[in-house]
Amino acid sequence: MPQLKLVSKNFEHPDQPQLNAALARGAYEQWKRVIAQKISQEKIVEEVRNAKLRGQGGAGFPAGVKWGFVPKDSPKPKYLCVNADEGEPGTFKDRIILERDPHLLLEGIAIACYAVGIHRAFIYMRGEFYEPRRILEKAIADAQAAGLLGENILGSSFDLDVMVHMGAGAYICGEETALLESLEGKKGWPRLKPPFPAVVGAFRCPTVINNVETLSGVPHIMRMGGEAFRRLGTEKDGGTKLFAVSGHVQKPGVFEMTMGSSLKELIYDVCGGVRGGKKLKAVIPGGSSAPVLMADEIDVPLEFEAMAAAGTMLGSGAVIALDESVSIPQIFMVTARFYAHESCGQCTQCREGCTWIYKISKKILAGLGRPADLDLIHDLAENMNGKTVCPLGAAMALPTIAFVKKFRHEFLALMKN
Amino acid sequence: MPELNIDGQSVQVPEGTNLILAARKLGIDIPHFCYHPGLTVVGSCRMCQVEIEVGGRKRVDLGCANAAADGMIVRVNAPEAVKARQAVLEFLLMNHPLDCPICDDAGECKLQDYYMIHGLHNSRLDVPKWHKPKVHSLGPTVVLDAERCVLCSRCVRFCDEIWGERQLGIFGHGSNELLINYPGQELDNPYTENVVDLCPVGALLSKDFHYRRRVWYLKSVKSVCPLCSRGCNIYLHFDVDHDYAEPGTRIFRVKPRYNPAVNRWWISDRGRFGYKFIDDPKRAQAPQVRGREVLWDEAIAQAADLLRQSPPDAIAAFIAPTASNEDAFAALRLLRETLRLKNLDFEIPHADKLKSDQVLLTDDPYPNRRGFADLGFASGNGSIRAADLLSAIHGGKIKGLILAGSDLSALGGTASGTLKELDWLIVVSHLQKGLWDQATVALPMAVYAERPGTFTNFKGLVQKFEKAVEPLGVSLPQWQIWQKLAQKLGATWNYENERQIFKALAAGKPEYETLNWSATAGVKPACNNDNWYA
Repeated sequence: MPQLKLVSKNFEHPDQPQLNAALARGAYEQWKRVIAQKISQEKIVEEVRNAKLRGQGGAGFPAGVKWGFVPKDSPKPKYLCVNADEGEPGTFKDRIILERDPHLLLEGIAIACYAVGIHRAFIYMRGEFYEPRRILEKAIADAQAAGLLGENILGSSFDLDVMVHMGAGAYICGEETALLESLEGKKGWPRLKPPFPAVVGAFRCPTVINNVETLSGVPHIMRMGGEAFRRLGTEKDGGTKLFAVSGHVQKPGVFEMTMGSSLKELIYDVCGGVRGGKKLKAVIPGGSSAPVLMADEIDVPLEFEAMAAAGTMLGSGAVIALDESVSIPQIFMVTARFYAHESCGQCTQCREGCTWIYKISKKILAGLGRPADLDLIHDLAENMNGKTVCPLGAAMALPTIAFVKKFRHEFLALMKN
Repeated sequence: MPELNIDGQSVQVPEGTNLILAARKLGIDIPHFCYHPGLTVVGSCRMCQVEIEVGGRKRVDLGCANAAADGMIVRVNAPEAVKARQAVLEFLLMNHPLDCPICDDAGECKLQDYYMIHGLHNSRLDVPKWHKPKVHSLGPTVVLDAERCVLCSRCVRFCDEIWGERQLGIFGHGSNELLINYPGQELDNPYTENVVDLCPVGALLSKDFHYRRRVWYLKSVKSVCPLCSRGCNIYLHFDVDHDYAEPGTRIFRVKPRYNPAVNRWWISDRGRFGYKFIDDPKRAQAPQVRGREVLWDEAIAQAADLLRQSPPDAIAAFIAPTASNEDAFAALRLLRETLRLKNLDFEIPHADKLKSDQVLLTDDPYPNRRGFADLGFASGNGSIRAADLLSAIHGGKIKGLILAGSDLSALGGTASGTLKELDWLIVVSHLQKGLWDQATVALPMAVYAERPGTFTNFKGLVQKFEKAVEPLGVSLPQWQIWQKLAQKLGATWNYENERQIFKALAAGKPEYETLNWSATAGVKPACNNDNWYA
């Protein structure tokens, strides 16, 4: 049973963003239970750890482990930053949570904050998310008015202030330390790590940063128990994941699958295969930063390790299907243009390398390329990969290497003259 | 203290020392652009990548952001590390205009130096370069060539962290990013030109030094800034071998010299631009008697006659504490021992104190007030002090006046009129300005750059400055003038050089005796002053 609606369970109800409707469908039940039963912080962290809930923003770091890194004895306040800066090309799964079931996210935030001892949560929203912001802010106000957030929640003396902060439209601010810089009012340049945000985060205080989808899984873990949640998925990747499928499939959209389902199943069974009877050429399985898979490489389980073994990554779960009508050099140029534009400009290799590769890709499309350019692109990508402060350099380098290697013939075809 | 191995040599460094500083202890340079020991670590240029082996596991990582650890093995020139640095250099040079022939920084540019070590590759770029502003004025002192900028953010961090105002920022993103003024801000603070020192390439240029000399023609000596009482350590950069463009100019710029106890890596703009008086066209080059140029012998004889002519109580002497300890010591021997004067002072009352700040500048514009005090220069009770001088002259109590290094203009607008009531006036000065023309005898003095000596800063630290260039004309160091006068008046003491005087004045003063006079560096090529960009 690959398709399973957990986080997306209530997406189909148009009234779900309204508090009363959400309450009627069981929203905040786990939060109320945590408060009423005075469930210990350790117990909650333990459940989330057992659930093998992985970070759904793309990196896949286990959420329970991350929470455990926050020092317990710090005299400073602690913060939660919710990463709602969904900017990876192809990704549109967080947006749908924010729009369709904001109370699920808020419940997850409340439980996470309680578990780590946090009294202030910032939701860092992508600058273009006007509608999600309106819906979410209303949901926060409603939940506060109902005593589910704010001061002295449900008479428990636990306070939690949740606020929304809008980004200004930079892709890099989805990187967690760039997000912190931006939140603090500075230019969104990623920080050197260590120290990690769990120790030195927002305003130099211990900070947990979780993706929207990750936190939305927390109420379900509390409901089902960590172990039962994990069993939905695989040994290391618990529960389900939202996949935002776009491109040339019959039925694009957001689909929730259990971890470990097959990518092939997702494309052919869930999304109805390639549209217009055409042949599949390639799949970009995890947002534009994920190396491309050729049509015959897509029989891979949708889990972090298996995807890594296949030479790509699960990333944010943004699956882009490309049919035979697509020119890979064109796709490559568009991808390179994106990274050249969005490189924050801090590290030398990424700042200069993305632009250089983009310029070469344009040259090739204009018919002015030479075969040696492909080796140059490959070499430049190698020189960028893994040598920068944040993973943006690698996010450009790895797909670049895959495009040039796997579809070399398409590039060479443009160099015939 | 962790002990690690760098390129086959063992070294022990304090806990928390990063690999760049640990390697420096061994004399090994790990290339870097953005790292500077006086600024926060950002790790953005990625030039300092070295191979680091811990517990048998090797990785290529940053030298700036990794602390030395016990048992760590660092290989600066491991093939993977060299390749990583070559890649960084290639990316940095991708959009660089390569206009070295017209760049002030050529010769002391890290891009050039590292290219010689790592580069030697042919350019693989066959797409157009970016173009950015070539001549952009960031403020009154600094001009930017944005095409040469490597975006290391040292200058930005200097303004933020050392001066404390955001005046520069890096705007935009990707490779068309631009270092530029913060909106509505000029690069305008008392320390602006430190960003020129910090700039590892030729992007930030001194308007003062712009196109004036090729740096490899410059020579350098260690000196001490005489522009406030902090005593910042500096290098004087000079060139006397090339006469083009600016005949008569010998000193071309002042650069900070690292001293953790005084000024760290920085100097103020006041100190940096304060060298101009050294080659002032109005420098006094020959002695004068009543406006007539004479030889030293005649000038000294005339001055001695004047000094014999008035009783000691009717003579006052004011020596500005711009003079060195050696000058003050010789002056004391003449004035107090030989002439038995009691009206001595060095506390020239000055209306405008400097604006001090939290970085370096003190409110005292004189470099050696503390030294004069340590030597007991001021007169005791009953003597006439500088503040009362004009009324004493007007009342006829003072008939003869010796002034050195100060024109007393700070005493008030009527000073030069009142001084006409004197029987005689002896002026010792480096400039033919102020009272020079009014002096009965005017004696030309060498400045600090033209002889060695010591200043004592406001905290009591005794520091030596060295000689860069020869005294202009026949001018002499102040102490020699006092010695000539004393000998003319019958004194038998004689010093061969500044070192002998210093030895005499330091005797019995522990804070002076600890200075090692002979530890001189001498004249060096300016390009080797490695520590301004640490």
